[in-house]
Amino acid sequence: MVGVLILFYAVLELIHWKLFGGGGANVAEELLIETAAIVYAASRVFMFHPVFNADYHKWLAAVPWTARKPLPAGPVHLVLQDLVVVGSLFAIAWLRHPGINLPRLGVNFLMMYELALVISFVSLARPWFTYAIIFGFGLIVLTRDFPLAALAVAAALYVVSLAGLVRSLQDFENWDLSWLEEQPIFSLSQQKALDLLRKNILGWPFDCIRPRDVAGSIRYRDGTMISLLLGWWAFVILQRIGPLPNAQPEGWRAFFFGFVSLPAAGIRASIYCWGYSSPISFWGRVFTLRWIVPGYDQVLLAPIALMGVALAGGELASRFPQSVPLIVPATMTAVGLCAFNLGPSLKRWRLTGNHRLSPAFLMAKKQAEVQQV
Amino acid sequence: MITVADVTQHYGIRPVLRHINLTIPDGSLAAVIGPNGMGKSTLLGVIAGVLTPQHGYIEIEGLRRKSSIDAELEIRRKVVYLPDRPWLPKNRTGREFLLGVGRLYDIPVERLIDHAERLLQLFELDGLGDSPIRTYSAGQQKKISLSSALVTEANVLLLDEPFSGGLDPSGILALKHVLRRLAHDGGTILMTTPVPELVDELADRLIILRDGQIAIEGTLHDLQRATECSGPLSEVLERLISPHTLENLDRYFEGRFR
Repeated sequence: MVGVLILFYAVLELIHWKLFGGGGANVAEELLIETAAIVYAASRVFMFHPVFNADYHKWLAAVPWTARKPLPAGPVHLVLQDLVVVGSLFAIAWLRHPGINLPRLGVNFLMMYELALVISFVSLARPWFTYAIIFGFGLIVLTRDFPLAALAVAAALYVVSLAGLVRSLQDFENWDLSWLEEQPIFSLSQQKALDLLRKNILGWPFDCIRPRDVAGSIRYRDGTMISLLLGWWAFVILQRIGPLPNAQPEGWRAFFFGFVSLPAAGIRASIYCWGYSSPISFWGRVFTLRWIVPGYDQVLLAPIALMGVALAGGELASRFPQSVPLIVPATMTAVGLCAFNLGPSLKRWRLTGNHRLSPAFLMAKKQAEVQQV
Repeated sequence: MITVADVTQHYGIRPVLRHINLTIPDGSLAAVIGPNGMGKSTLLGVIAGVLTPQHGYIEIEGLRRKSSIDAELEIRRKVVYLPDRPWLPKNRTGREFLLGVGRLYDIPVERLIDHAERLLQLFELDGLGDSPIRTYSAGQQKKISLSSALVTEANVLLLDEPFSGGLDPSGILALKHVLRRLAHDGGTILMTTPVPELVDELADRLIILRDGQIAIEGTLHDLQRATECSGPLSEVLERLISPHTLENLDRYFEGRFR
């Protein structure tokens, strides 16, 4: 990989000399250096972290390795050798490409490295490190105009990610990567990936009426943190964008109605209600005087609530434009809390809700893989 | 034991089931019989948890259906439901399908592999076990779906028209013997069928549905006594459900040959 990039750089340098005699900005080379930094950062994690290599992980589990010993294939954390590689990129940039902001190059490198570690934290169910780093990325974006400050934040996040990495490796013997099967799905050929997905399809009724693996549910902790991060990133984006020219305050009503409340309510309702219909039809309800079926209608509370919250937020943002930087993030957080945390949980709904399962709808999503007897 | 307590089920305005009360003891092989549209599949769907009744409840082995997460999961571990027209994973082989279903029910791997193999042999699918289900005929698909219910080793089997769907005579014979043996070993089997001839030797309990209500239930002997008919089940049903069928038949043939 490094050799390829060096070769590319040499070719671009040759072309640049031929065309411009060596002078002037070389955008292609600058892009190449930035890309090289990002690719190197990602490869440091993906190539050395056992969670991304099933064979390595299995071998490690079979030998007497513990977290107190170095990883046999090489460390995941940054070492002096990385300084050589990254330092070379910095040196080339400093000497030949004054258009590249060196602290920003460092930030990009660290952000990609930390993002790759976040993927490992998600795989290993290390939520707090994930949330902390994603929060920190928001700080980096906010301080982007002050590269040294952004670099300091990125460096601080490195310490957090390093702590997460150490904790993950210490917990190695409890890693549950059975969902990865033999290889991570993104490294499989298309046919093997298809086979892996097909493995979990059993048709009707076994895909739906089953004694286990009924439905995943988001924990309150995760729902709350994701909602807070939604609000935080809404704040970050607003700060970066700043006031839009010719923007009308009334635009917030349309935004929250069209881009927040409808999609969020629609997604929530479809996840719960697709294939899980009301036990009695509309006219059945009317004529049998069962206008409200609590065991079913409970599922509509969350979409209604989040629509109400989103519309209220839009209304407030329209009326108080000077408070938009606070109202919009708070509304996004509230919408997230309604979408993720308002009950019933998906598992409870599917097991105890008063619904009518519709096999045709439930199997419609798997049309290519199932057929009716 | 399966308990159906005062169940009323609507899809729309008209109730499909009305005040159904039923108890199926352990070790029973019960059949719900009735013409099409009488609510047999609906009753089975309510017991299986596919439908939620507007009134009443279902209990299986002392646990009330949908009362709590734990109770519902416990019920699902003990019960398997097979609709009359299941959906099968067409790109998976028959063997993979059986193993996948067995894994859902936490059957130990060695026993599961052996059981799947025996089921494939029983239903004469051993030559097709490694072929994708999409290559199976309708009857073979019916057989593999029946096998999927049996491979679960569930204590309670809810089978909607298990003998329909192109099952050949050997399949019918095999299924009858298996169901009889499972009931004898303490399992509880509840099935529906519109064809009384298939179950009058098999079921020890018969439930006749008419217009969404239980017209009568009991053994064949109980039904014969109630209808004052000593003939087979088909004759008993004629008297119970379709008393005018013979008259209508006579009228039909009179008109045809006039």
